[in-house]
Amino acid sequence: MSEEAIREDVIDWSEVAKRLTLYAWRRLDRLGMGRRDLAEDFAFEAIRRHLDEQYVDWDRERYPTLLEFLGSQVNGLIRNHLRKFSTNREVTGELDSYTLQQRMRTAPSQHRVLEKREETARVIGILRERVEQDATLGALLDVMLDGIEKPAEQARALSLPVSEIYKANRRLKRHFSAVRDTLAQANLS
Amino acid sequence: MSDENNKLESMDHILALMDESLDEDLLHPERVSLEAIEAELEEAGFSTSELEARAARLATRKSKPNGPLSWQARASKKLDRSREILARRPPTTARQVSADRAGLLRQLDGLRSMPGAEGRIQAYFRNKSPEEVTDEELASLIEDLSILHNLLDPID
Repeated sequence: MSEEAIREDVIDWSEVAKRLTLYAWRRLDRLGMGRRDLAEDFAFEAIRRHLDEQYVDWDRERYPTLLEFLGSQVNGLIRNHLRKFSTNREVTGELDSYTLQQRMRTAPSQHRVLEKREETARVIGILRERVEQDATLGALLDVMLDGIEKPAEQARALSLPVSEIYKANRRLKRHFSAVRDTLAQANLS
Repeated sequence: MSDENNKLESMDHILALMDESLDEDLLHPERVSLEAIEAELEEAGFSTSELEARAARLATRKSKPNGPLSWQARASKKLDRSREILARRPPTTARQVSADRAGLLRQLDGLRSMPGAEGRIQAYFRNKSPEEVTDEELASLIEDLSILHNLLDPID
């Protein structure tokens, strides 16, 4: 499905649903709430609301493609869910044991937090090894870790043209994607 | 320890930004193929055929004429019908309104039985008596009520 096809409303809803479901899944999983049913529901709810047209209109200036717009809707649904989740946690004293169990099943535990920290350090370590031969990428990663995120500021910090920074960011993203793929494969085996 | 925490937080933040950037790629078919999406879904335990079936059900629901999503189509049809009636309205309506004041008041009384007209007439005269209203204003009110009568009758 091309971007043009999406713009012209010749839509393959099956493909849209798959892309949005995976999008929701990855985000929920990182939040320690990796539930397939939730991911699927958020994806389909975003589509349903769009088709319903009683809901918010597609802001084509902000989201040039339908998928980008629906992705923003999925993000909104996830944020609402998290807000509800944290509010509910504050009143767990009033909940029955079954509901409490259900909630705890989806709560990120302290163990999970520690695991996540280890994983973070590991990913950064692997990423550093991969970019060792590329001096610009190593330096870019350092300034990012120092909290400098905007390309213009990164360019100033590294005394490089902004165009070089954009290219370096794209290279870094490819390395990062490869690291994620490798780790995912390692987790599967 | 605080420095280490800051460092970890910073690493976490950078990874989150990069992860988000990879997520956004899923929304761009030219960056991530459908095959790659399906493979990752299956790995995560999703059934792609169930997703397809659910999407097909949603699309069918959208196209049903009396489905819950068709309110806008119904409203649009109603609007078209109103426009049709307006277009059929004889262009001489204004001239059909009586020329003398007594005739105008008789016509206005005749329209009172029309659904919703009484309330409109009362609202019109809330801050002024019929004596204060000019013949032109009366004629205009009668014309408006007549159009409304034509519109409401065959639609609802």
